[in-house]
Amino acid sequence: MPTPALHDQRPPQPPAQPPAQSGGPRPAPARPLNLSPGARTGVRAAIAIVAALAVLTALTAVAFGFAAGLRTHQETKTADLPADFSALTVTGLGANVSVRADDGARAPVARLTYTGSGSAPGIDIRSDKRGATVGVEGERGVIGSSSAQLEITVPAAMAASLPLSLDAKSGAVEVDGGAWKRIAGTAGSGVITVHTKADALELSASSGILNVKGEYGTADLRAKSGAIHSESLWVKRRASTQVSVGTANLDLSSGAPPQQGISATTDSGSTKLIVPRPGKDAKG
Amino acid sequence: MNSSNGSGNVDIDIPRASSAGAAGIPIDIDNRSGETSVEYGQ
Repeated sequence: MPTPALHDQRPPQPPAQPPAQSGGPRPAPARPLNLSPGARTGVRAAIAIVAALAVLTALTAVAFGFAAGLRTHQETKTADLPADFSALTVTGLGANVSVRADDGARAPVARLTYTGSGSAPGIDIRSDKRGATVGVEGERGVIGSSSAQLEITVPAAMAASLPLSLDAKSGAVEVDGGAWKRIAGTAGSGVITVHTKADALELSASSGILNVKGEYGTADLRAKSGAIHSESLWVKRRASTQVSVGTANLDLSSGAPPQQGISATTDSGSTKLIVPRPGKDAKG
Repeated sequence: MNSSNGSGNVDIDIPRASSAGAAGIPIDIDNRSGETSVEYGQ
């Protein structure tokens, strides 16, 4: 009767070796290409032509860039807005637009600073019974290496009773200082930055960005795939934010809590609410 | 505080007793499949 082995007495097997290469035919060693003297001369000529063309192309590009640089200039245009209007709309298509309520301003005015190689676009000012609309002329705005900065200044006393509408489109619109009756705006794929005061603030962005600071009676901030950033934001009555796939960072901790509350709706994005500590009843 | 959450995540880092605020400030959160957090500022 066989007894079961307690230990395997067989010697250890060597590790498996990879299978040997198949014995196929070995490739023949490369042999130099034999060309006739005429063919060899032709190949050398072709290589020389290609090299010359490459150098010529590079030199042409440098020359064009240098010439364009020489043509770049800065130009400034100024235009008066109507002396009186009931609302102001600002568009930021292809330009950087800043809107300012100024205590020292005596009349509303727009100033365009253009930097580029072509001629500067005009300031587009339209006025009807709904109010005044200001932007940069042209359907596509200022593109390429050129840039345009449009500054709109409104007397502070006038701004305090004006509804302000912002349409950033693909550009950037900034409202800094002063106080406005009401601010509404859409960022599109651009950027809206507000650091001011208003009784009501209502901003939305598709893929753009909203930057918000200041003091507002109500604030309604919405973003689809864009982003909402706020700091030093004091909303006195009601603050609401809504994001789809975007992000919202609403910092309301610098002032008293909104008396009518805070609401945050988030689809698949993210929202961060920073609220004042209990007992905070004044800004600071 | 009213908070509804779908398949996402809601993180409330303030005491629930005070989340409505001493003055009764309501906070309404509607979180579907995203992330929402609430915290005190400095």
